[in-house]
Amino acid sequence: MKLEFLDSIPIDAPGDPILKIHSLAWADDGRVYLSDEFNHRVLIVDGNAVTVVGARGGEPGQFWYPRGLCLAGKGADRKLIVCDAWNHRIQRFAPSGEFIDSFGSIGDGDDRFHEPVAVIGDDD
Amino acid sequence: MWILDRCNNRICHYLPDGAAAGHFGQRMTLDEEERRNDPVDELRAIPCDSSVERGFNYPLAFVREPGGEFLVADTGNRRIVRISLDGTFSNIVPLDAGEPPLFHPVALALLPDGGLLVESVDRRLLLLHGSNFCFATPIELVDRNLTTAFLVGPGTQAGAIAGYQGDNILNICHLPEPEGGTKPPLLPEPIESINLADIEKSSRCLGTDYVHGLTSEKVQDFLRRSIQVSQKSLQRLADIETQYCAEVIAHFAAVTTAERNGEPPDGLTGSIHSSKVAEARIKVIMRGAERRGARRMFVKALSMPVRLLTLLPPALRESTLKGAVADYRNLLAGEFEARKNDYEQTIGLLKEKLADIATLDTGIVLHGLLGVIFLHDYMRVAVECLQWLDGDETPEALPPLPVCLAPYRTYASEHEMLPRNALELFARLSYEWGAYDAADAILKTLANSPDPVIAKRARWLGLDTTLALNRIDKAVDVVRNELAADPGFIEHASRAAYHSLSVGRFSCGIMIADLIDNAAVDHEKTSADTAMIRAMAMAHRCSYLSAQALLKKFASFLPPAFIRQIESVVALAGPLDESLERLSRMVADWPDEPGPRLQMAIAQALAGDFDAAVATLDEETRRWPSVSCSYVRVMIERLRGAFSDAIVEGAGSPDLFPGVPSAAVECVVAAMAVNDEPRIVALLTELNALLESHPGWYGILYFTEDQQGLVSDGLQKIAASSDRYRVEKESFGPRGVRYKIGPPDFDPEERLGQ
Repeated sequence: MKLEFLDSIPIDAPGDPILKIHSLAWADDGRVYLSDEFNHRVLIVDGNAVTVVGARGGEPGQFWYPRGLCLAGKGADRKLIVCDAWNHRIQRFAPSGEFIDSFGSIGDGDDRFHEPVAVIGDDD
Repeated sequence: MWILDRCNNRICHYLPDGAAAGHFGQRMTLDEEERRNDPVDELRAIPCDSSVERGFNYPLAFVREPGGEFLVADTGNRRIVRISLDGTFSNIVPLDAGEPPLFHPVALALLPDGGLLVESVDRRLLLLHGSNFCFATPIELVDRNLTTAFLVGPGTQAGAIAGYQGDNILNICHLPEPEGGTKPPLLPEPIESINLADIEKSSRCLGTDYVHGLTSEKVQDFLRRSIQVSQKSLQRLADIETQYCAEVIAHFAAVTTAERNGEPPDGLTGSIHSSKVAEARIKVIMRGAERRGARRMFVKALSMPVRLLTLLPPALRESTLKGAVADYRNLLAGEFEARKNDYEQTIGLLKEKLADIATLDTGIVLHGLLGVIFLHDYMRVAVECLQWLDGDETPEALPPLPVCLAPYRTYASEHEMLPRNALELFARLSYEWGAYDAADAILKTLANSPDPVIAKRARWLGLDTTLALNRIDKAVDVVRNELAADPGFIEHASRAAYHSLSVGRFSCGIMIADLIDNAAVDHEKTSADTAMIRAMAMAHRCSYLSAQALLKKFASFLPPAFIRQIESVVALAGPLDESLERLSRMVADWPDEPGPRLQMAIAQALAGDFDAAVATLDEETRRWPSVSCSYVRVMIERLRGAFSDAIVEGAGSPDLFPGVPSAAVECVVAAMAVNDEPRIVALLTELNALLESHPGWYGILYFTEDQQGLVSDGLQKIAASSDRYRVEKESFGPRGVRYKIGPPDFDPEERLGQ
């Protein structure tokens, strides 16, 4: 069985080309969120506009291999949740890309992660 | 929100305010080899019920079904599990199921129609569909360069799948309706109302009513299917549940047969009959376990009679099966325990002895140690060897010092081995001889040494055993810790990265490259290496195009010649016809560059065009006499199947061991690759001819016990046909046999001792 090609979306991302997309989330409003794992950033594609979120690093809002991501919460509480795998933390952003908060550090207790790779929202 | 916490092997639940709300899952491996070598997992391998399956081995993806159940890609265990809300784990796709087997699932997507799309680490896509995902349909990508990032879009894009092929263009694809039932099922298709879960449930509550509802055809059919499935997976010892169900069915079948023959259904005859059937089947399983030396299977099998026991009518449980069960249990548990104790005892004794024997002749120490290594599976004998070290007599049972050991002996005598060095040497030898588990056990002891130097060396060598055991995730952890402590570990780390790539763990390779870059002091020296690792990983994990994009980045800080070299290496990735095309272009574009022709030759050989491959290689040698092509030549000849050519080519390369022509080593490698009679005989004939034409050479051949029968005839023929050759047979390891063939007066030890 073959995958049938439907459409293609050009992503006019600045800087280095995307090497592999680890995860994608598709918002109801048509925006596409993707983790550009090897460039350590998350891209928000809204039509022709591309917003770059983050860069390599350990500061709030920065990433070191962002992996799984999802959108969770309803209405004004809607957030973009990203697994920041090698910083061993979860970061949360507004749907527009502003950093909200992050939690977790390396370890195996509560509030500890060791390479979080995927996330599912409660309302999914 | 639910978070898949990969290296903690758990799923964590967090509330919207970020508060932790519990987690479940633990580390659990279904890998026989890994279990045997990990004491923690060894404990978990002793099953009480199917809860043994309740854990993960570095999972990479999960999705949630509309009912709330999780489907998890349990990557390291090569399976997909469903976790119900009550915490029950069940296999959707068990270990190694499918044809070809599903290999390390890395990504999942749940489609709106209920299908489950799975991507495996080797970039194959599989659609699981039908009741309980019993059908599997491979999915072809529109473009082979497309790498998938799974997504099921909302609204109008429902069912759409995104693919990425580089160049910053995201493709949206669509999957047509699967053609139900035309493909062979992964799992036996449930027969009407019967499925695995039902049978297990009913067997647990002594479902005699249930079995009466079955026709024997249904039972037969299910049995047949169960066995079909279990035959394959039994070898990996993973799908015991299916086998267990087959056992239950066999029992039911026996009862049903007895009933049809007019015998009382719950009466004495029926049950005795069924207990005999069960016993016979248990014996078969035990024999299988024994033959494979599968410890986990022993343990698993032990629990089986107990399960069957509960199926019998209460009055008969005690008297009929218990005796037999107890016998098997004692026999096997005894054997299992005995070995385990021997092992611990040996290690303990070894440590004690080594402290005492530091003053003895090092060669003797080695000899004793070697005994342990040879017999690492027969610890009782090994203990005797060690005890012998106290006395003056040479035990006859001790195997002669093998050829390859001589360099170590020289090393040992030159360096005045201390006890702790001897222990380290023991580990090294075990490693060299492929007894990785033994090496691992000793290194663990050494790593706790109060001497920081010893401990560090043990940890560093531990990386090699970890890699040899293919425990890549653990290796990444070792690299992380060691690099943080000492940048001198970089060389080891880069070896670990290449090993990860060679076994298909591309992400791990990239992670290690990252760690190297972070730890490196001299970036100029390491960046070329990490660039190569990254590019190779990218080429295989994503696509050749992605690798090229990456190389553009590297071009700013790496010399163009090196970029071209990397490019020629990664050009081999992907479909062979495309590789050939790429490489021939490179050869034409850069006629004076060393490298592309080597890769071209490999590609040609892989494509079966051996003469062209040799010609390409000849051209490379003509242009670059200093570049060694011998490994490619050996590879080509081996692919072609002409072992003597491989051996002669191998002889040209530097000797691996002083005094032993590499030809002999190559010959060993070639011999091990062969497993069918005509080729073994052909190999022996070639070897014979080779020995005739190269006076003074000798060959060593390693075979498994199974091959022994057919080789010994051939070897005896060779020995009989010429009095110029001597054939010696020795046992090698617990299950191997080794033949040396050479001139009557050859004495490998003497040669090497010089």
